[in-house]
Amino acid sequence: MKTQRFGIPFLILSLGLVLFFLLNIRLGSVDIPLNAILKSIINDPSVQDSWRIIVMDFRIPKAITACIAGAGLAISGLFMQTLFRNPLAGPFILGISSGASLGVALLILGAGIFGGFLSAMAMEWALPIAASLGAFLVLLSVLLASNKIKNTMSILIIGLMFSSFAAAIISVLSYFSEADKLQQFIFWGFGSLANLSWNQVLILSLVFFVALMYSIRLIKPLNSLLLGENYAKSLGMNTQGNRTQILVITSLFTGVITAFVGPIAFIGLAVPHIARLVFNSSNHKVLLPSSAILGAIILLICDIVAQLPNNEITLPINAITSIFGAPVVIWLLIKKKKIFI
Amino acid sequence: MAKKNIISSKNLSIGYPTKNNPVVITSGIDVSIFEGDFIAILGKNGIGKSTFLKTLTTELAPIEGNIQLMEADLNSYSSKQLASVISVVLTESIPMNQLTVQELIALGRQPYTNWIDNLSERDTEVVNKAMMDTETFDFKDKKIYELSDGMKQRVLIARALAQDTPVMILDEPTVHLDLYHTVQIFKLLKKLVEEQGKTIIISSHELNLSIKFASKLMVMNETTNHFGTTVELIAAKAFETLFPADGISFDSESQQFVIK
Repeated sequence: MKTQRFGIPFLILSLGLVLFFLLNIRLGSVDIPLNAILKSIINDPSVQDSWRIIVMDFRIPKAITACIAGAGLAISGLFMQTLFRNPLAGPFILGISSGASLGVALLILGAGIFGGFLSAMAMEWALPIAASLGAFLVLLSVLLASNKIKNTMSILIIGLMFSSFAAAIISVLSYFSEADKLQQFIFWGFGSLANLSWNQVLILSLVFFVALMYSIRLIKPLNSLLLGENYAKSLGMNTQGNRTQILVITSLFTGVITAFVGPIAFIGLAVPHIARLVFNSSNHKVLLPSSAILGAIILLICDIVAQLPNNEITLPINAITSIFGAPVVIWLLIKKKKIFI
Repeated sequence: MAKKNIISSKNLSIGYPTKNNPVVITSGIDVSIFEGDFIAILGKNGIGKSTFLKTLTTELAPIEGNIQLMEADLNSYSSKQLASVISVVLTESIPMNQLTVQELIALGRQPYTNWIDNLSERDTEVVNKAMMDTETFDFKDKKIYELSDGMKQRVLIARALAQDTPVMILDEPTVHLDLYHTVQIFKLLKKLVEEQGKTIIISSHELNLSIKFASKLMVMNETTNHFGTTVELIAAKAFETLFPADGISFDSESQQFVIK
């Protein structure tokens, strides 16, 4: 497809990404001047150790996590909206987050009930592994079901059913759980970009990069899906094969992100709409990169707000994304009056 | 010189597959469609026009008999191969999106573009020509949702044209259109047949216009399916079978349907 010229908007977006990345590192509960941050990065010994540790082991991994989570969730949301031709679809529509929640619930709440134990050491990997397993099991079920089903819309309903099913089991587990375990589980549900070790950030980045590269290959089938499945098929597209690939890539993005940072609401649903409104386009050659960059920027901003600069308190990121995001989307829609996929 | 046979079927039964026994909508379809034919399929609602077209585009498998496409079994075509032989205009509306007219028409080039869908010089040429032929070039930068139904239909035809296939299949291409735009679409299709040698198959409820513009007609009813030129069909008294006797009748002298 021929694309309109978008060079300047993309340049502005990229500059914005760099700006907010630096701002995200600069602002936090401890006020660290910019030159001290830069010195920490180049490992200049004149910076005090506490600052260097905060910057290198806390703020930079957190900012990278925010970029990856924001971009990945936004791309996933875009894919689901196009595949299901539904502007309300999001990355969690397949029940991935419910699967991840169930995995974590079984780990945290189940351990209490069934008498298992978890040392603090094991938690670094136990949580993401449990969440990934949960997400993966849901993905597997959805894929098995989708191979039996011709109608794409039915997959949407199957995803919803898996979500309800998982939510029900979580309710039962919660009912029998002790207060402190329940609190731990609820905290996971708030989402958190912080506390990822460099090893975790590395794995997150690796999976993100692979999924991102594969996403580029999906641009062509996604564009033909803009005409609807039957037209796409008449253009020679292998509809079921491409559908499976889109589902797998989306699950890879959302599964690994949810595993490490918890279920983060709003980004995946709203960012693709913001990208469509900003660029006034439906072409995935434009929407894929713009959703990714916008997602990263928006999650960086939400994280800055959640940190309440120069304050000890940190608000749950999940609350911030919704509190600030929902009004923005409502305002954009009222202003533009039309909603597209 | 004998014209090339494009599509032929012998004693074809069509319908929907179910688990135990398939639902047969209609059977005994014998057609042979040649290069440059403009075929209109007539019949009342639910008689199997769309089913027949879906069978031609392999969305449905024939229940009995088979279809030959350019002297090869239709089943032997992969969906990729078929995309360079048959292009379609469907009755379903396209999802609400922000594609421009040009972008949408360029999607017709997908069977020929590379993995990242870059348009070659030739692709751009074909897209431009498709826009010229359908008179959609003037609003190529408009968004799809800004167009009237008549314009939208021309754009969808342009998209099929950009796909550059010898056969075009259009399911009720003039539904929702007023008489003026309906005639415009029929004229456009006739032009494509005459100037570019396309083989076009449409289903339509525009009986009189179909008789006037199409080179051959297929008249479908519950018991038999007639296929031939208007003169042949009049001789076979096919048009009289189209509707129950009260209300509408066919006047063979003016070759038109009239209201009693």
